[in-house]
Amino acid sequence: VLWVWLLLGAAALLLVLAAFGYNRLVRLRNEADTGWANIDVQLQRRADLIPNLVEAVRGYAAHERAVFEEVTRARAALQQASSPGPAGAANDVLTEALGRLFAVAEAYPELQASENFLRLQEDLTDTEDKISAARRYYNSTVMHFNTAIQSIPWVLVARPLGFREKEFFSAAGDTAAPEVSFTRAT
Amino acid sequence: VTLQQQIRRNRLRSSIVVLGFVFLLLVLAGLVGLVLDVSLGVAALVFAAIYAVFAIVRARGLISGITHAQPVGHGELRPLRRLLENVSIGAGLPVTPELRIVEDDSPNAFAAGLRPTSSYVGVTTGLLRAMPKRELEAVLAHEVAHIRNRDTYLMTMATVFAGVIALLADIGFRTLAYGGRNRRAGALAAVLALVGFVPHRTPRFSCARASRGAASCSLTPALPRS
Repeated sequence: VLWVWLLLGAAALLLVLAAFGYNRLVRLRNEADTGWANIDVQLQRRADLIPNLVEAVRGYAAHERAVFEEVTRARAALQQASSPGPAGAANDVLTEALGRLFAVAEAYPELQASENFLRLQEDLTDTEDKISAARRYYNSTVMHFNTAIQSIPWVLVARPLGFREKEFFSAAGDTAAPEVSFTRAT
Repeated sequence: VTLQQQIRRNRLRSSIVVLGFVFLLLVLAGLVGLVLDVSLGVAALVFAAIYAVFAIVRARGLISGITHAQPVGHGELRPLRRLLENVSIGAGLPVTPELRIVEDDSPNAFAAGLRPTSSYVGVTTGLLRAMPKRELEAVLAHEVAHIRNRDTYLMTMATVFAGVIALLADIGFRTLAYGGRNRRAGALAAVLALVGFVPHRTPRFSCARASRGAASCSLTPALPRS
């Protein structure tokens, strides 16, 4: 009779632990989803800024058609990417294209001095800062979620329960070595 | 001890502080009721409850009033506001806390508010003058970490409850000093004075130390709660 009670007690304890563990997984998954939504908002904002920027530069350098097309294509690719992996890659392509656009803009001091252009440039830099802040948060939530579902005991049941590993959102800047310059800036 | 555990401990500590003070309040009111008069005990409890609720609801504004922190107009201080937005996103806060400025030459910053959605960060003009952007970002990240870890919540609760009990003890002490004189009342006065004195000093300091430890640990690598 005693061992029946012990068994029932152990089963009840296990059930309670399972419930807590499951809720934890759900919470971690929701945190990661929220983290991704934060990045998505900023990526969208970045894409929204680009048409104005292209128009501003086109006003001075209408003949640089190849660069404009490249930026427009990269923007469209970013808007189509819906999951973290492809979105990260598309975002990097856009960053490169924008680099070329700004290189073109450098040849026109009037453009560089215009209020509109400066404002757009500032907004773009701000959005990029926000993307990297959101990325830091998102990647840490993903790390916690993935660790949880790859650990015993959840690794055995996570997939049947519908928990899948999430992708990190990585940027090209992560792997590039920092530039070191020994010439003193003045 | 990881950051996650530290945050969890901090939240547990908040609950202990709140429950502990409620318990202390009940004991005090019970003592008053036993020794002096039941209705007096009930009155003290009701008064304390009203005072505490009022102080908690008004805490945000009170801190703002004491520090003379002014809300920033919409178009002003955009770079600073952007820094605050960025560190809030990095910390995973649902909204960016409001930014308030204190006209003061000493470099300082603080966070206040009960919930992340209704909190604000105060920064002195002295700090803005003294610090370059990157250092300012670190300070803002520290204050935002206080909000995310609910340190501001813990501190508000601790301060309000300590204030309530000190006030009650003070009232009780004076009532007894000038009112009825017997031995039981004298003993109660001593207890009240002691109890009023103790929470006023120790827990506030221990909270400050404990919570500051957590916040300074969670400076930049913004980790989610788990």
